[in-house]
Amino acid sequence: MLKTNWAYSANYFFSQILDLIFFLTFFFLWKGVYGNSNELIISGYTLTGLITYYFATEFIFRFDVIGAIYLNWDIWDGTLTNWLIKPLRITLLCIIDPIVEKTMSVILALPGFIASYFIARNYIDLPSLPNFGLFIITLLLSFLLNILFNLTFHALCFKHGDQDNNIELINYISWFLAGGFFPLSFVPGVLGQILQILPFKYLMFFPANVFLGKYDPREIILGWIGMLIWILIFYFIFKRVYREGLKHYTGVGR
Amino acid sequence: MKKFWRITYILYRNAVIRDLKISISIITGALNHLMDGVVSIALIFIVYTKTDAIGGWNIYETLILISSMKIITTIFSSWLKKGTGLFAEHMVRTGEYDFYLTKPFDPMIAVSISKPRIYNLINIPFYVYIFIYAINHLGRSIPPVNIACFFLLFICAFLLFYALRLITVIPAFWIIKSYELVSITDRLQNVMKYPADIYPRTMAILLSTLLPIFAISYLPVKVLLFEPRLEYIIYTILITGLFLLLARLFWKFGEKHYGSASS
Repeated sequence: MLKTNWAYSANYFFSQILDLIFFLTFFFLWKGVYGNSNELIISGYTLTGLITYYFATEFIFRFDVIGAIYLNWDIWDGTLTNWLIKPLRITLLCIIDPIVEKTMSVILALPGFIASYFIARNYIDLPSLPNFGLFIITLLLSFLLNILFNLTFHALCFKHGDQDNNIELINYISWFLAGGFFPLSFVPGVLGQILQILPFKYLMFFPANVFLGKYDPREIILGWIGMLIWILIFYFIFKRVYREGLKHYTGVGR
Repeated sequence: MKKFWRITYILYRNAVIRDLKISISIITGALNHLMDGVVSIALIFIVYTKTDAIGGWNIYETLILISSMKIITTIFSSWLKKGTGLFAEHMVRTGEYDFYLTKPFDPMIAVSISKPRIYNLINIPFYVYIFIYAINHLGRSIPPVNIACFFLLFICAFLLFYALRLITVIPAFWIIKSYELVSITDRLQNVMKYPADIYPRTMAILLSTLLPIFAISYLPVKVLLFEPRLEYIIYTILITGLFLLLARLFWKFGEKHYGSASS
């Protein structure tokens, strides 16, 4: 994968620039908002806290699994047959594959990430080393949860045909509900409370706030337990959908 | 010109026939586009619960900015986006561009209008509603001269957006994989959603000249809501003409490097 990205260096260069622009847009937007507001703390976030939040979410976005899971396409075009005749556990392969792919893409994204830090360094609070360790554990759990959540929709392809558009739509909605565009605590009223109950907060909002050091150890452990429960729930749903779907699969011509 | 509209009509008619056969795909495709608009507008509402202005623009002015930009990009994506996108990803690499070169019609235009996605237009009423809602809540009337200038710059903005898109897809004549380059116009929409006044001066200059996206979103709305200054109008017309010319020359230059994959 490293070689592939290097071969398409122009594409890689532009991806870094565009990711940087995405971060800078939020940076200048909120700088403007805080500059115009009389309050130094908005919904529990100082300007530095909020920019650090976006910095953390920029990193978490690198683990976005859309485009790193191929189950839907493999079912749809029959490639799955090639895997089925091999002595492999397909469900396990579906989980390992995006982990390998995303590990490389995170390494490749580091230059852009460092550039974001240097541009906004006066507004970014890096976590302490122990806190960073907690963040990494949270991030890995969130990554696993996201993989299983996505795989469930991919497996729907067995029964309901190509899910490409649906997966894109669901991911867009889930990033929104996860706090990918602004912290969930900014959402007022009942809607804000509902968003705190849904599992989506574990994809972005919770890991980003661990990065910020907003939680005490008890809250982090409770969060991890919540994540593990959702991981198990989505794992069993995925297994069930996959097993049921496989009964409908025909790989004609392979 | 008559030929251009006739071909456009035929392509749109075919697109309607094709899209009606796959209704689920239409719904999810349209919802995908709509979600982007809904998220942008939700973010604006969230932002304005924390402040009464960003860059001197109130919530209704910013809603007009977003909805106007979205109307441009939605029309663009229903008409020209897919064709230009496929050109970059597929046509040059596989030699499919030969098909357009051999037709008695300008290949650049033919490629651009070749794959209309009519279902994207479903979202237009939503953005028009937001636009009218925001105008009604502005609390001030807009002089007819501002409206006339806005429509002029709106057309320029559409053409400029097209020119920018062409410039980002033309490297496909040389570069095999240019996905990120092609997605520049999509990703920059995130920058175009907000008033140019929030960005630092250097970035604003860069995004008004080298990559003039502020002439697409910001300037038309600025002349609509504030003073329609002559320099804005002249600047937008000139930069649109310049970028269309650049795109055309760049395309012709790229075409010389095209070696058919199928011959």
